[in-house]
Amino acid sequence: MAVTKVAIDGLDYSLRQQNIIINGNHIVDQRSAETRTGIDDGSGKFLSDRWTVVANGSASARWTGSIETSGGPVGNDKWLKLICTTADASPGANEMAWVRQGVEASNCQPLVDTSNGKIGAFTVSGQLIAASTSSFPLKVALVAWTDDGTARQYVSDISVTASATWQSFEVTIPADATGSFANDTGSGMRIGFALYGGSGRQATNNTWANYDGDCVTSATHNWAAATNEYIGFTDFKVEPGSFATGFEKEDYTTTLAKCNRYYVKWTTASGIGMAGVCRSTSAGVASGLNFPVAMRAAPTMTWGTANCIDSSASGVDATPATNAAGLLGVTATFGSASGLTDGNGCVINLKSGATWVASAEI
Amino acid sequence: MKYFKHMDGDRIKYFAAEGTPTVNIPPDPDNMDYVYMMQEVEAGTATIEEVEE
Repeated sequence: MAVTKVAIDGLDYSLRQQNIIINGNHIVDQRSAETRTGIDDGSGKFLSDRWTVVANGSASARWTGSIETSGGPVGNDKWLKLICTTADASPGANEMAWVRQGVEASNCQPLVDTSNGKIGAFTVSGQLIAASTSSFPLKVALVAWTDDGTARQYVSDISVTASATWQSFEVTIPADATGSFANDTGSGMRIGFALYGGSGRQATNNTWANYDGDCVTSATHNWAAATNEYIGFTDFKVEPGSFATGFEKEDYTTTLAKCNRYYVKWTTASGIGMAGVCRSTSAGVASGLNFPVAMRAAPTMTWGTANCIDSSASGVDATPATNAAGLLGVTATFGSASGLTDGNGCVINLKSGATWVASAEI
Repeated sequence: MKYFKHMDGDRIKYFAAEGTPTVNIPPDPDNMDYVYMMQEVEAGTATIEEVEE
């Protein structure tokens, strides 16, 4: 059979469009060693990279988060599961919790309507699972909040047809001539699923409105109604236009590099070591770290204990502190390094079990 | 809540909340921890005390 070659400019590149969501299939999980039980009211608990649970309004329901490695939609797919551990069948008006990703405004640019510079139509798709002892179908609310210009909100109920059964979802959110995205490093949009919300958190289904902190509709199921109810998802994708294209399963290092713009965690398993110079026995050691990629903002550093070794010592513990933090690296001083010799070069190792973290999350 | 502002001469090295000295917040208005800290200060629920090193 004859084979006809097709010119490359004849191919349809509209298929499998860019996903503005990072780590939509949860393959990067730098915080895996952290406790993920009793997730409660607060400023946010990160789970897999870029995904966080945020609760507000003195929320009383509690959640356990996990990155599941089996039971996904296909084969060994990873998925994020949030199971209710303390129920709240009758939440107060302003109580709410949701799992969401904050999208950097510059990454929202593919969603801009080029005709007016406002928010163009975009489509959210993925795989969803939910479990409840209530009768199905039940609604899960997809929530989008925008942050620039006139902040806007959009809530769309997804009908889940059966308990503990994976299903695909696809929601096209129409253009909005009021909202907009800045082209900067701030937060452009937060998007994800509501876990529950009180009567004061109800929006009109499938309707753009000015931001009011709403995350459910009057028809959304309360996934905190009873313990052991849960929501899980993977292959989460947000792309411009009115239809969904396939989820691209990136290689791990590509997704990790994207996540590192917001969060970097060094562990002893990653074999971190630095060169340094002993300043004096009282002033400690001067050194620094380069980040794997440019971070979104100068990061907050959380410093674990270091161990400094020069030619005169077998190793002394030292507590780091930031000297100056930038987008590409941080310089640090390591105090309490008595036992070292002024002027000696040294090697600085992360002490066994300790971590260093750089965070520029949204 | 009290934050300590660690200085090197006229330069701010970092901020740290009382009780968490190893969590160092940079003076960057794009850093969300810095934003939250300044919101708390503006709301009157937090103070900043300067530390010279």
